Amino acid sequence: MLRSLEIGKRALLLSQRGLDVTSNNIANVNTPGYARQMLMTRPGEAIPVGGDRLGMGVLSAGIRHFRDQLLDRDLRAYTSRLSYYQQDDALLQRIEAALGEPGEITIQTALQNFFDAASTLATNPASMSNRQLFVARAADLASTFNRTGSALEQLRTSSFERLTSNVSRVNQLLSALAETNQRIAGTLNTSGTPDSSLVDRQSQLLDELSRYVDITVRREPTGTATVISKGAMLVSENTALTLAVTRSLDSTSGETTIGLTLQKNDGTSVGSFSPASGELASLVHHYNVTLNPLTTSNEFSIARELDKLASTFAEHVNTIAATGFGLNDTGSSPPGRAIFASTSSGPIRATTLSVLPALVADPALVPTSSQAGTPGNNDIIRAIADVASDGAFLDSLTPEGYYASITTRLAELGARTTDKVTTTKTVLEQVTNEREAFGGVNLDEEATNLITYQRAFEAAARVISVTSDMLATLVNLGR
Amino acid sequence: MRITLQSYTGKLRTTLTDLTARQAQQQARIATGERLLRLSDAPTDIPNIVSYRSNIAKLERYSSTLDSALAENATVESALVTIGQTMTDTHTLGIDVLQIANHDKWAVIAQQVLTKIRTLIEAANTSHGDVFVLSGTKNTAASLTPSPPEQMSVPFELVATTPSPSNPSGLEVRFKGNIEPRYVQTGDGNTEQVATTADAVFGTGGTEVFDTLITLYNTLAFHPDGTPRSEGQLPTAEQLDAVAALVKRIADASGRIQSTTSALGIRTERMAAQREQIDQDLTRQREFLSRLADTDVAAATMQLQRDQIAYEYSLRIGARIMNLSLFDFLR
Repeated sequence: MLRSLEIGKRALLLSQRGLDVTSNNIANVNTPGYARQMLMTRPGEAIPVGGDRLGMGVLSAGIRHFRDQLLDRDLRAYTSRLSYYQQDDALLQRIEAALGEPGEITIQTALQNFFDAASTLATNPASMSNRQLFVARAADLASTFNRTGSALEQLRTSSFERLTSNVSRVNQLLSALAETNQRIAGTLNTSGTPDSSLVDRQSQLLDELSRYVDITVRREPTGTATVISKGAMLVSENTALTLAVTRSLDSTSGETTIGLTLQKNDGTSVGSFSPASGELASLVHHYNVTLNPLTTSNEFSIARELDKLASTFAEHVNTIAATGFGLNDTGSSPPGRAIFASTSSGPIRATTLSVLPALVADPALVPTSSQAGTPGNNDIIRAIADVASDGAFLDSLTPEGYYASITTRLAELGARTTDKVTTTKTVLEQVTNEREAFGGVNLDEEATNLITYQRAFEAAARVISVTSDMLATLVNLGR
Repeated sequence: MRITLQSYTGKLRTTLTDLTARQAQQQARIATGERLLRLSDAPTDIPNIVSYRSNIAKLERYSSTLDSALAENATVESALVTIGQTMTDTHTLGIDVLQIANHDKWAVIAQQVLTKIRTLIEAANTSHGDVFVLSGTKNTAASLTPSPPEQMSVPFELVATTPSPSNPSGLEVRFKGNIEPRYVQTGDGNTEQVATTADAVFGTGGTEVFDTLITLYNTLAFHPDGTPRSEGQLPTAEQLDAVAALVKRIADASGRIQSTTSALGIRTERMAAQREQIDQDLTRQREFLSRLADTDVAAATMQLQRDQIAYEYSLRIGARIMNLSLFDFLR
């Protein structure tokens, strides 16, 4: 009789634990990184009774944690890639905005306005209003280059700032992972199984870390996670390395580049670190290549291309202008006056392009004629206007053609990146769904479990009640 | 496959976000009229769009240059008509003075010739805007500095110099401009001369015609000894021969002016035809550009409606699926 009571008690306790697990699942239905749990049961070991073996009810076989390491690995790999492409996409969008493309106020329209003004001036080079218009258009063109160049510089600066802030977050995550490792190892030592909430927390941290860098996770027998990226052990047991951003200046070329280094806790450097994907990789790449005007990389650099266009354009126009005479120039040899200059002592770049201040002050100085004292002569200004159709201007293209080649490359890059974002997003969604299907909480399922455990609990209680009644009957037999 | 609450909500969230983004894109396309909101929307179209825009700007530039050149040519044509008419009138006067009945009126006719010279100078100094049209590349008042006895900053000026046996009146027409032709760009690698030059109208150095007319005036107004002729005084036989030769030169000059006017007319016509061609090209290029860069409003509106319907149904279905769970039936 007492055996039945024991069996009932075991069933009661197990149903109660089942309800606890179900409640915990329901409570964490929206918790990111949470993997559902399930109470596993096994029949109690049978004991010999008479000539038979009698079962001893139900016992817990532990709580199963629905986490699949392969799915986790895939999810993190795609998260890294998606973050890389999304960062690329966002930056390319901002570059398009800096160029004003597609729109009305762009370098192309400024170039067209400049050539329009040159052409108008060629119809009447003696006209002061035409000269003023030409100087104003040249200044507009210079300011459009300046504005675009500065916007790209600003974008480069904000890439650096974003990288610094991301590195700081990565360091927090690495440190939190080391701490979680330590706690997991502690619970394992105490209870023999790792704390599932800590494992969930660890998984959450790893998921977030994969947004910044591509990582590989190795599960140790102690329950801890060793985080590896590009061969470097970022986290091992309770030790984490820290990332640092380094900026270096090439004194010969003046080029500034950035890189990442790994350091130990005592500040000693472990070596350089170049992630292949994740936000950090994208930001470093754009700082060092896409937005770097002095890069020697074969890859596309919008800043370098823009500088090339600005300097070649100024050079072409200035070379022609140097052979011309202004409205009031006299003498047989031209004064060698330029149209464009640099606002700094260095070479002409997109950010430094400007109109010769003397021309702004006195548009009569604009060289338009190939002969002094002939204000109607338009040979020079016509040659300047002709630069618009110069098919050998740069890389066998006209100025507008070269600008078109820049925007086309940018468009192709943007489209390719958008495609990559879409594709990777789809794959990531699929992997997320698979992980969710395996480890996510289904409320209907949990409601069913709720009923199951409730009914089991009621039945077990009934067993105890009946056994109790039977015991009472036995006790009262002697009265 | 197990479907969890996160599977539902995650998918719904993504769908709603995508649909909202698509609606916003279509709205922007309709509102701005621009098909491309980003360069990457159609990377293969970008080179063509840039190229069409560039061509349009270039054609507009040539069109504007041609307009300006045509306007100046019209001014020149009008001046040449006056010059041609004046030369014809002068030629008629020359023929008149050779008539025996007019031999006693040379002094009077001489004054008429002088008036014609002044008319010609006035026409030769015709300006378009602030430039003199028959002054070559030295065509502004500022570049035409007078040196005594010149007094005015104009290309052609009648000045009085010291009389001499060969020029008893001392009158002389000075040309301060040059005979450099002016060109404008009217197409890729195409230039056209605008207006015309003084030598094409007035002969060598831009003053040949004036020299002839002043010689005629001197012959009519003075005796061979250089004394002024009075009304009623008759010319000598040599003077009659000289005037006949001058009339022939005037006729030749009139012919040259006519052919210069015709040449200008042909150029003007060519430029007008070019202008018309550019207009047609512009229409074509704008149409090509519009096909690539402008929103197809009907298509965008339909797409927007489709996205709105999809959005509405996504909301409805999402709300309905998540509304029911087993918990609703547990008591």
